[in-house]
Amino acid sequence: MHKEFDLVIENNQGRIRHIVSRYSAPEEFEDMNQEILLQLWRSFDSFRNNSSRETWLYKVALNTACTFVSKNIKNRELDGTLSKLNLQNEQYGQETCQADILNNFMKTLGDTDANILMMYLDGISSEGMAEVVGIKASAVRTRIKRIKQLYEKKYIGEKS
Amino acid sequence: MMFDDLKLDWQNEVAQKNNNTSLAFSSEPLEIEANKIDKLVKRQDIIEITTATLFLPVITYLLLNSENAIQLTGYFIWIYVCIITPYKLVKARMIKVDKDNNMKSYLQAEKQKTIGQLDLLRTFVWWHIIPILVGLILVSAGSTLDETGTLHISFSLKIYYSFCTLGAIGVYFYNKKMAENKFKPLLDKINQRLDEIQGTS
Repeated sequence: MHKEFDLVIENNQGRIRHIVSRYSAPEEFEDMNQEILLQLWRSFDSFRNNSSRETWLYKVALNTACTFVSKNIKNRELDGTLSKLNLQNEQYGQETCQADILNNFMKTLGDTDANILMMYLDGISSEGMAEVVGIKASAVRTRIKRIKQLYEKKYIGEKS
Repeated sequence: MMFDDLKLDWQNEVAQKNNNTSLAFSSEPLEIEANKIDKLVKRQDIIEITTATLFLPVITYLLLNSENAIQLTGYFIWIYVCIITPYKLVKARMIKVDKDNNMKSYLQAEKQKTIGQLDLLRTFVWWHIIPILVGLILVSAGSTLDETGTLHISFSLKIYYSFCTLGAIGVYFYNKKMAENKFKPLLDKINQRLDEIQGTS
């Protein structure tokens, strides 16, 4: 089991680190990363190929990240205020890098929409996303459409 | 940049992060860590059950040798505390929330668990502190009972009861504050996430 798990993690390290960086403050990065790996290890035993590897990974990682954030709720409230301030500053034409645009756009979304966007960008199917979030695939597609419209209104509409 | 361009950009970034961190991964430290945490939880359960179990024979001995009905009632209350306390604490810890559930089910389970912990903290004084205090008052007051059935509670004992009552009131308000500061925001956050998933916010 060790070898199989190690291989899964090695192949998905980038994906995990991306989820961690979305949810954690820089000083919490390693702690959250470790916690997610620990929870993946714990649930790997019960993972019976009912879902795809990616779907399983997203479920465990996002649920763990949410709990981690909730446990540090006071710090997060402060971070939230600070990131809103940063966001306001950045909105005055300082978004130069594509990654910045995406990160700032994600910050304007709720957690669920941001998670859906993250999975969409990662190439997960609507059915897969629906399995992770626990809603219907049609509802996922509606949300993606809404997110797209929001993005276009915010970034393309303004710049054209 | 169009929305779908982000997809390619994102996947490249994930691949890049994968390459940057493509060190051989070993899960052995994780297994050690997981076992360590499990042992700690088990140890905590054992300590709570053992503490209560150690008190039980002592209280039962005192109960069998109690001088009157007042003391007897006090000892019965203490036995109740010895049983109910580890039961409630271990039961609360036994609620497992599987992290490989979908987010909606996971949050619903987390909500139930948090409500349970919130209730436990809010009612701690009622099922733990007050029964201990009432037991203490009955046992000590019972020992002052004379043959005519009259209680002779001294002034110092009354002062002692007052301090214990004030302590219980203090614990009540402290727990209330803890519940508000620790679990209430957690519950609000869970509810907010559930509303987001259900599309009601």
